[in-house]
Amino acid sequence: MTEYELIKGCLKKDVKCQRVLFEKHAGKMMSICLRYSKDSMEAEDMLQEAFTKVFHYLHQYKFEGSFEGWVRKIVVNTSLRNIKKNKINFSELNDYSENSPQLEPYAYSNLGEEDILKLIHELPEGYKLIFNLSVIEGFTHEEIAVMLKIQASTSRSQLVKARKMLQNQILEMQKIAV
Amino acid sequence: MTDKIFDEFIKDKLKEHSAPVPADMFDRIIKTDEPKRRVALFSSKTIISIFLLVAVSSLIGYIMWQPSNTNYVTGQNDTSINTTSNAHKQTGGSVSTNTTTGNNDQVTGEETDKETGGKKNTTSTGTATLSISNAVPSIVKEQTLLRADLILQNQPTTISGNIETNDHTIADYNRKQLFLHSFIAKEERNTNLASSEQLLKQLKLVKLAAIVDCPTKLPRRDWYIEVFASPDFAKKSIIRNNNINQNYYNRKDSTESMEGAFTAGIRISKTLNDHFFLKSGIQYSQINEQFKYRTENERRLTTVVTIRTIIRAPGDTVRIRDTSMLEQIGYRQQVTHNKYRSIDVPVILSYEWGGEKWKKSINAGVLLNLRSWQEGEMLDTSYVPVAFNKSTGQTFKTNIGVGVYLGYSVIKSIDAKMDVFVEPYIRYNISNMTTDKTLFTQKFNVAGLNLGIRYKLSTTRQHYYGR
Repeated sequence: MTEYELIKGCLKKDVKCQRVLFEKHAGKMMSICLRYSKDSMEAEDMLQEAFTKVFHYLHQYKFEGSFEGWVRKIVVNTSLRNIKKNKINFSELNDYSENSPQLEPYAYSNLGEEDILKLIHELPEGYKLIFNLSVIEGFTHEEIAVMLKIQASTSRSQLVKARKMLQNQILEMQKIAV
Repeated sequence: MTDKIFDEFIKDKLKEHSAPVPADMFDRIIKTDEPKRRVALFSSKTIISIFLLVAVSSLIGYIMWQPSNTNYVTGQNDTSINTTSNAHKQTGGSVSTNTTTGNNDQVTGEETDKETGGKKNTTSTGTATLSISNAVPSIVKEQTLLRADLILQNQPTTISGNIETNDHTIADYNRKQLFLHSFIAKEERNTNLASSEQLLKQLKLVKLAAIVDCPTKLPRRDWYIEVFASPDFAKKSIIRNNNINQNYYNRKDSTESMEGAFTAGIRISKTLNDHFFLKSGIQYSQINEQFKYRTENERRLTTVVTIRTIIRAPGDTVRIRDTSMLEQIGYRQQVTHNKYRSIDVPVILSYEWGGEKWKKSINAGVLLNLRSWQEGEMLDTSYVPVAFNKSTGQTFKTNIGVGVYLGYSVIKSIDAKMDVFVEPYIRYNISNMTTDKTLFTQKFNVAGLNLGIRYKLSTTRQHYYGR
């Protein structure tokens, strides 16, 4: 079945179509939820809430643009809403990493997805959120500022700090590996 | 740059990354959504069930209420079966409906020739097309299935296939009757089917042409009431008398300036056909003018004497006396608001076109003045303000005659009965408004913008507008 037919079936509340559509996109969306959540339990709750909304508001999808992109938006917004329930800490750590050297591509090109996810997961809350929204989701700092009700400058500095911290952690990993 | 490469690397790695999902996640999602879906299913099924129940009940009620087809057939068609037809008086053939059989494909009947006593089987096969004369009004056409035999008797009918048309032999005529009675008989068997179209589909014998007639041929008989008001621009036109000093007119013009004008009224409209309207009513117009006149009211002359003493030397005193005159002139400014009022009866012919939401019309007609009255002041030839009003009646007429009216309306429908309209118009008065005693001829021509509401008084009937 094409995605169009699947969506049409879901609109008619066909459970089989809903299951197929869910299984097609659940994996990627779970990955998104894991990046935003503290643990897997929270990620599962986010995913459940997000897909409930997907099926509930499916009639609003006008077949313009990618369906995956539409679902992704819902998942990200749901994740953000969950995170914002607890106050987000955007304090900056004194990690003295401003003077650390730039990481060359060869240093991290062998990193696997799970390693990267683990590194991101270990970032402080604010760093992780801004890094996810800016680098992976592609939001501008101005958009992030509006979404999280912070200053754009805060978003920029958090991203710089997050990047530096990740790079340092990659360096540390390599040192350990050696 | 390095940071950008790093970001791109992370993004590419994680964009398509999939994580394992618990096996029961979908069931959890469905359970969360289920109460809403149950409600939705319940309500849509209930709605469908109620709808079906109402539809079936209506169907049964309609069928039960309808007079039986059998009665109609026998009551209306007393010449069909066993008697001589009206058109054919020479011989009579008889057809026994008792032996009539019919199916979708053929109609078989038994015909007895009265003279010979022999029996003949007649068969018609194929799909017959019954076309109805256009002279029959649409409302009758919708019931053609039931009245087919009546029409057959009264109108020429064409039936293709094995049944000949317009054949005046009794045998053919009776075959036609047999044919029709066959499907009317079928109709009796299928009386649980309400609509004629259902029957036709079942029988597959007769196809009727599309019989929907739009009621455009019915004359439009609508009455409307219009209420309107208009801000106006009035242009005064004066024809001077050459025997009078022209300075007087210049001076007079300098004292007068136009202020606002307005019109308000009510009209009744009657449609003459789909496009033409006749409108009449009553309207009140008022033109305002400012008369400003300055007169010297007071002149005050003051003599000022100044005495100065100059001591040129001891004992030498000179006293100087200055006398000067100071003149003060006081003016009195008089402002009067002149009003020119009239009550007119408009008689307007309007041509309207457009769609259901937006319409336009051109309106032309006359304004018959019922009464005019004026009050105010103006300058006379001695440059003194004089009053004019209805009691003096010497300057202006009490009836200013006929004016020509031309307007263009844009009408917007609000609902089935109410419209709003905007109508710029001009009014040209043919006659002047001054009496013969006046030293000049004056009239006003007006341009205005009617803003109004139109309300349909007659019952709503849908009209189809030519586009």
